[in-house]
This record gives sequence, C-alpha cells and structure tokens, in this order.
Amino acid sequence: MQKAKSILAIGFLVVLLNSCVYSLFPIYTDDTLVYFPELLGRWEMDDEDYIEFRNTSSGPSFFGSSESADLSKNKEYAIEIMEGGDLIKFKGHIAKIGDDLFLDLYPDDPYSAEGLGSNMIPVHTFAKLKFSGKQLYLTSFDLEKLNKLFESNLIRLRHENVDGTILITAQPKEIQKFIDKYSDDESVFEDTETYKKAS
Amino acid sequence: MIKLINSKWFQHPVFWMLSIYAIGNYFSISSVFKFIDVFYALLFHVPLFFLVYFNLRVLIPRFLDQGKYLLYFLSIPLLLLATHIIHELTFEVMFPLLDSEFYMVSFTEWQVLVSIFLIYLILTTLIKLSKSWYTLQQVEKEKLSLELNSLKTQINPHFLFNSLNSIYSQALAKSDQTSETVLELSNLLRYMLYEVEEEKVPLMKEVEMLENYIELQKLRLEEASKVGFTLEGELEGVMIAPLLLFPLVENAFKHGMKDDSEQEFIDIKLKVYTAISFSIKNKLGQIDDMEKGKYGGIGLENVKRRLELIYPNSYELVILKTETEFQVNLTLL
Repeated sequence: MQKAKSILAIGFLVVLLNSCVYSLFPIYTDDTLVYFPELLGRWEMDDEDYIEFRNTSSGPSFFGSSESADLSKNKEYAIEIMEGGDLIKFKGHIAKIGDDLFLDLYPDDPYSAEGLGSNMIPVHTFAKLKFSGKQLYLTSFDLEKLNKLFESNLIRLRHENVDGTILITAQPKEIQKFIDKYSDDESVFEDTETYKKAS
Repeated sequence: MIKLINSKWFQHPVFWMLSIYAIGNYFSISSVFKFIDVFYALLFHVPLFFLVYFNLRVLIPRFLDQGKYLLYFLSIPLLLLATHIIHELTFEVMFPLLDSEFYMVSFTEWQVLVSIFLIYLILTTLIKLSKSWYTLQQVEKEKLSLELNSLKTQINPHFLFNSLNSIYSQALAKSDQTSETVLELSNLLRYMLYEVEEEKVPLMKEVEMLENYIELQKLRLEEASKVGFTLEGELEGVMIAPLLLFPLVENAFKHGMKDDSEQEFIDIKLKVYTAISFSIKNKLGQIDDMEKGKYGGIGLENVKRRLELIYPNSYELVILKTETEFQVNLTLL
C-alpha cells in the first residue's frame, strides 16, 4: 500500500475534480478515439468556471514516436479547466464507447507540476461528455458511490484503494467494456454539469 | 465408501467444485479470493457445463465411440463457437436478468476463452476415455479370471474320474494298496483345493504334486512299466501357474499305459535354468485312435488356453506325434 501511495498524484486532481474517478490507464484506445473540431473554444458554466478546448501544439510525445502515440496525438486536445478560481491544464482525449462519448483527462505537464515529486506519477480521470450546438454536458462518476461499491467488493474491476480513494488499475479495454455496459446506469453518475459555448 | 467415490454423483460435483475454485482464482482481480470471484466463476461455468456435457453425452457417444473420428474433429470448432456464444449470452443477457447487486463484465479476450474451452474439452475427453479404458480393462480382467477358474475346475473332475477308476479297480481286487491310494488322492485333492487359488505357485510344490500323482498312478501299473521323471537345475524360487503341467502328465498316463505291452513307458524331463523346459514323452496305444474323438485333446487344449492367458508371447509349445509315440515340449521363458 505504501508503494501505491508513493506512485499517485491523486491529490493533484482531487483539488479540482473532486468527484471524478481515477485510473492508472487511459480510457481510450486507437480504435475508440474521436475528434470534434466543433468542441474547440471556451465553454462556460458561470461567470468564473469554464472549460476550454484547444488544439495541441506539436512537441515530443509522452509515449515516444510510435504509431499509436501519433494517432493519440492527432486526436488530442489541450484543455484548461477553471474551477473555483484555480486553473488546471490537461491533455484531453475523447473516446466513443458504445453510443456515448467519454472525455479522458491527463495532467498536461505531470512531472513538473507543483507538488509532484519524481517518485509520483499522474493518473487519468474521465467523465461522460455530450454536446449539441452551443451546449456541452459533462457528467462525472459518483465517486462516493463507486468507492462504496468497490469497498463492498461489488464491482469486479481491477483497482487499488489508496487512503480511501479508489484508483482503477484495469487495462483500457477492460474499462471500456465495463463503461459500455454500465454507462446507462444513472445511479453511478452524478448530476450533469452544463456549459455554454462562449466563443 | 469406495462405491461412493467411484460414483459420478460424487466425481462430477468434486470436479466442478475444483474447477470453480481454479477459474475463480485465475480470474480473481486481487490476491484475495472474494465472493464476487466465486460468482463470476459460477457464471463462467455456464458455457463450460454446456461444452463438457455436450461433448460427453452427444459427441463422444455418437462420433468418437462409433469410430467417426473425422466427424468428431469437425464438430469441435462448432462446439467451441457455440460455447463462446453461450459465454457472451451468459454475461450480456442472463447476468443482467439476475438483477444482481454485482457490477461485472467478462473482458476475457476470445483467444484466451477458446484456449480455456479447449483445455476443458481435452481434459474431460481424456478423463472419459481413460475411464472407459479402465472399465474395459476391468471387464477383461474379470472375464480372464472367470475363464481361468473355469479351466482349473475342468481339471479336477477329469483327474478325479481317472483316480476313482483306479481305486475302484483296487477295491474290486481287494488290494492292500487301496487305503494308500485313497491317501495319495486326498493329498492331491488338498493341493488342488487350496494351492490353485494362487496365480502362481512355487515350482517345487508343483513338482511334489506331480511326483505324488505319479506314485498314485504307479500303484495301478505293472512293475514292468517304465515311468521316468528327471529333474535338472535349481527349483528354488521359481514360480509357475498351478496345475499347468498336470494335464500333460495325466494325459500321458491315460494314453501311454493302456495295453499290456512291455514297451509301455512315460518319460518326463524338467530342466530349470534360464527358462523352464518341460518335456513329456509317452507310448501311444492302439486304443487312442478309437478314443480320440471322445477324450483326446481336452487336457492339451486346456493347457494351450491357459498358456495363452497366463504366458502370452512367453512360451513355446511343441507337440510331436508319430505312430507309436507322443511328445510334448513346453518352454516357459
């Protein structure tokens, strides 16, 4: 458990996305990646909080120069989230799983971010995404409910419990199949947050 | 207890319980074996039950047991495909219908699934075939034992009949030797009753029995009769099937001592070195040709059959017959 603690950067995400589910692996694979140019721009929830999708600037990939990394790079967003006065930058990918879209967020510059030591690695988080015209809907998983289900051994998905917070350690394909099956189960999701296109 | 262990009502549940434990452990998502793993393993076994019992109850009896090997092997891919479909239906249709509180999916890749299905198919087929083979062996063994017992019991009445004839002749003649003959017969019957139950007996005991029998027969013979029994080699520790040589000696006395000719004789030689070599030669009487159809060959056929059963491919039996002599050479390797 001590080892697991040392490799997590959950605190980094918890601050802003306190109801998200965390995963060691991304939710997307090459065959599920999709890209929507119409998402580019800022989407506001209220006067302060917003989410902004931008094109990524070219640069060295985290994954190296493999074909897979190139594909994920091509369909990658640079995402800024402003919540409660704090701004966090992410790399974003959208995966189409079943009939639903899921946004995978990963720290933009994980190894130099404040508070992260060299013995820690960042994690992925994801939320259900919908958009139509000028509206963007993000629905996070109900972390409290998921934690209870995991602690009660009612969910059969590989995971670690780190100080009461569940970190999913299943492979992307496993997560995709799981989400595909339960994405319509409203009991594991929180209320949807609605954003409006600002620019 | 053994009957229960051999029962399919015991063996099948035990096999499936072990299987559920193995699958549950293999697919466990943590180092601790939890109830959700057991539940998953139970669902995983729905297609396995279909696979195994369809193979055991339908494919093996209809194809494999009938020698239709090509049909059997052609049906295997179809069975695997059907099992895979049932696996999907179990997790995608049946499990949601159970309205369980568990959240689970089967995320095993099809290659892994088919490998597991194949392992179960091969394993259960081998178990079934080995059980069939074992049953067949048991039946053959029992059949063999029954036949050997039957052959042994054929010896007693034959020998008894001849001996009683001798005693009858002595009794008619009010011979003083009658009581001694009865005693010799008693000793021989004791050997036949209690020793022949064993699969093999010491050759020494068998030789003693033959010597007793020869003495018994000598009682009714003329002094001029020549009966020779020579032994060579070491008998200690050598084993032989009980009463194997007896019918040969009995036949020699039956056919070699029938007329009043001074030339009548029986010559028996037993050599024990690396193999047991038994040779018996007797003079043929004219009466043998007449009785051939009635009695001839029963004892010899008995010996041949027992040799085939007890010493398969490790004996040599040579029968030499001339107009005046009959000789049997038997070598046990």
